[in-house]
Amino acid sequence: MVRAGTVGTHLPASGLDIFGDLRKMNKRQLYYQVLNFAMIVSSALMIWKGLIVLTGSESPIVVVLSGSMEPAFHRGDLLFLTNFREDPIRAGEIVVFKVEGRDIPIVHRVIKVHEKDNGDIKFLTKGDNNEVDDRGLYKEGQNWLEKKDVVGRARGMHFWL
Amino acid sequence: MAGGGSSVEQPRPLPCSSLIGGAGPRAARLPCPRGPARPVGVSPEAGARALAHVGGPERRRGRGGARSRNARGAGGAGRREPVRGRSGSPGCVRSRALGETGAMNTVLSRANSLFAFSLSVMAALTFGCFITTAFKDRSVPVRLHVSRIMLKNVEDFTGPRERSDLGFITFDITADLENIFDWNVKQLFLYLSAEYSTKNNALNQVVLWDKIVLRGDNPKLLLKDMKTKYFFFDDGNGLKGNRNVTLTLSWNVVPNAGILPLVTGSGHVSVPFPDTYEITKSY
Repeated sequence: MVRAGTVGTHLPASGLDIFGDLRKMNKRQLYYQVLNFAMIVSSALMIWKGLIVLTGSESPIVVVLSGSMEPAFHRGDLLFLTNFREDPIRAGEIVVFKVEGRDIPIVHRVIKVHEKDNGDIKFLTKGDNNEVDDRGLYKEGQNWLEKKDVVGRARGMHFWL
Repeated sequence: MAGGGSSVEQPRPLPCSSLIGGAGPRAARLPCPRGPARPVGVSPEAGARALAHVGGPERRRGRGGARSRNARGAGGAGRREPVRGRSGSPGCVRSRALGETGAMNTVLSRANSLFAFSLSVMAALTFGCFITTAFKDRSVPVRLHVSRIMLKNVEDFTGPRERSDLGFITFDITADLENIFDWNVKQLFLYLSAEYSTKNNALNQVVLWDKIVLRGDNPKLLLKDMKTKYFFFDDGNGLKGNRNVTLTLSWNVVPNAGILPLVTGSGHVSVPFPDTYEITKSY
């Protein structure tokens, strides 16, 4: 929003005369505008980082990139993730995980879980729309995923925005 | 606006209650128009004092407008453009009625305000959808029955290449899912999972069969003599002689927007597995 601190001669006919306004502002008003902008940017950053802490996941909101979970999730849907350490991984949950060595996280469903007494978990995933499980997507020789590969569990979703 | 140039340095505003356009009580404090007649709704110049007074609340409201853009979509076109001459020089305070600023007179601004308004209505609708269905209990009774169990010991070709137990189950499912569907449920992802514990692992869960039920599909499930969709491999040889393998039907409720709960149907069946392997050529 352009606040025209004019000297009263002329108001812009439309809001597009930004540079004219900037030129007419004195130093203090310009500084104020810059600060205002910085406030907005840092509030957005604070909200994002706060969400990261609140959910325990490094990426609390993700976008579905592929169609491997259709018809539940289509490309472009938003997923809200949490990653609390006390939450156990159970069959049927939708997890977002990263394969070692790859950057892109994958959203699939857990279909097999084997948990030992001491809490070590290994699990297998499969996309709803895929015919086979994800062993082809894991690293060479890797047959199971572990808790450290999990970015978060899908707790909520929103359709394509 | 030519009128802006006429009387710039006003030492003192003239209080006046009759204003062109008849705006509200706040406008009554604004000085009267001076000079030639102005178009309807355009307020006259204000002196420094009146400006400083009005500029305060104007400024706050203006900034609120910038932040909550969506919520005030309807008033977006009539957004105020307060002018604050902090250095004391006068400017012009515009009226805040819709259309009087001239901001609705192009197709683009109309489209903009229409879009903003419809976006905020959609957002409210979506939130309403979410909040009315967020706390519902999505569980229904389920009847499960297992008619045949068989056990083999083979090499798992899909994974680790050791011999592991492979189970075969034939089952029946009866369930009525109609009460789960409402305006916010897009589909139900049903899955039959077997849970058991072995020597190697304290907890094992294997999904044996799944089905997607979309909204609009027949919600009554009457399945008989179903074979498992996925191989029931154990991580090791723990199925042999396992007394307690529990089968449950659960579902994942996928909403249009909102929470993704995992609900377990009330009703499960526990079966024992045989102590011996079947020796047949293939599986």
